[in-house]
Amino acid sequence: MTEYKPEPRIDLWNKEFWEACKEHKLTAQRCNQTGRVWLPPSPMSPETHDNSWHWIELSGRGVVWSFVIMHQKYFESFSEDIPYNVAQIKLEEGAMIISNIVGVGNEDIEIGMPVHVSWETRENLTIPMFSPDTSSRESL
Amino acid sequence: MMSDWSLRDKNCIVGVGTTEWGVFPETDCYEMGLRALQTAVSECGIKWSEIDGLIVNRIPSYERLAEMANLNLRYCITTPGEGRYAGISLMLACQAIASGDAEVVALVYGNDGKSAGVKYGGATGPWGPWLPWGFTSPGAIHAMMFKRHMYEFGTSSEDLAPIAMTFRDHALRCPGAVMNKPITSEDYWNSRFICEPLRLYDYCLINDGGVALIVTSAERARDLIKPPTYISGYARSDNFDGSAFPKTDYWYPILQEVAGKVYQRANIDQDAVSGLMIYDNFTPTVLFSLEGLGFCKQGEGGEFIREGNLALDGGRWPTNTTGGHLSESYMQGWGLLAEAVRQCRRECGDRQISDCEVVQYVCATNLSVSFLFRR
Repeated sequence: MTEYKPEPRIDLWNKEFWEACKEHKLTAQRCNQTGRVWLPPSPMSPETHDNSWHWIELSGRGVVWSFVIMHQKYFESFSEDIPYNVAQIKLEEGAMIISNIVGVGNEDIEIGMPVHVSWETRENLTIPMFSPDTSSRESL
Repeated sequence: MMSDWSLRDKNCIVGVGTTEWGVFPETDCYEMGLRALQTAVSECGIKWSEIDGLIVNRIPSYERLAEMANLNLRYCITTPGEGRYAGISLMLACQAIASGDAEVVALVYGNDGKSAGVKYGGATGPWGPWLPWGFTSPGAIHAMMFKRHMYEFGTSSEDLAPIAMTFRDHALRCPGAVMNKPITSEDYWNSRFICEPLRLYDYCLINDGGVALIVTSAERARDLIKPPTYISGYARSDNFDGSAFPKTDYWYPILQEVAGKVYQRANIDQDAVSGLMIYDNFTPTVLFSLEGLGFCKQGEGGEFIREGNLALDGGRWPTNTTGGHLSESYMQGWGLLAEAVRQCRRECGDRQISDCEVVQYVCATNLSVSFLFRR
């Protein structure tokens, strides 16, 4: 029997994020007053400590803040991917996200590399991944 | 710089107990904690009936433990079973004594995680929202931080290798250390990646064992068997901003805040510190701790380490003289606290820091803590 990759733990606050992913929209909460954008989703603005926030669709662009290559098998479902990368990505709007960089070899990933969201479909899940953004590379 | 701090030198660690380290499927964390407590009580000569405070860590039920030891308590608490809570537990003991809520506090830690097959990573466990991308384990979080540190400051695995090798060398002088073979440079570089850039030898051990400490007031400490180890100062700073992610600041700001307080509170200069106990869950934590506390400038931790400052042989601040979590035993900070006391008492034989007067403990996490102990 195939073991599926771990699914997100859906809670009250990240539900909308994962629903939007099904429509290939990367979203996050934004503070109405300060404009701060944050992930993971949560009940109140960390800036103003009130409920004055709304969901926005993100541009899907960002840069690699840092990355690692996972060699240890923690999940049977990832065993064929080993060694696989995991990147901490700083999104254009300021929030961070953790994801995988696709469409490039692990050895070609660099900190500072511009990336943009791309979508992977799994069982019952559409998940944001990131690909090198070749078009904007020269401009940075 | 002389300023008053109400808890300076007011509390002492008077008893220390540690079990053997290893894999002990025949027992559990209750027995290991209690065996350590028996040692701590008998070495200092305090009466069991005098223990009126209990702080339990990693052992599930304080109630069951108190029942087993037949303690008559006025103060009792379980702290979260995470390594960051070793130092925090000791702070709570000081506060309980200072406030008069307890006179003699026993701190008891027992860990049967190795025998119980506890895993640090994978689908079970509190590994946050990043499992769908295969991101898991505390080691991966530290690897992510160190990769960024490499980019920002030009550090490399060359800076981490001496930490693993030095602590292993210390473990060879520590009877009972889990690891008893040296790590050569070749061994380090040949060891497999767990989460690149971190290799096997950048990771701490996992093993069973128990540690207990007895803390009381400086007055009560005077006529006990062992010389008291004074808790001269402690400081703590927490930061949870962006803590769903590997921290982007290497805990530098909160460690700086801790450094700004702990020396002043203790009225002890950094220069007077004889040796260090640094929470070494992974080698980069040692580097981040040294930079954060100002033993070197930020970004210069690698050079500071490569100069040999952490070594018992000739180092300015011999560090983790038992081998620490990397090579002695995974006691989540408790073993380092026990060693700090033994160093201050000058009981450490081959691994004794010469003329040891002051030992500093630090744990760098989202709740960063440091202690200054003196003989």
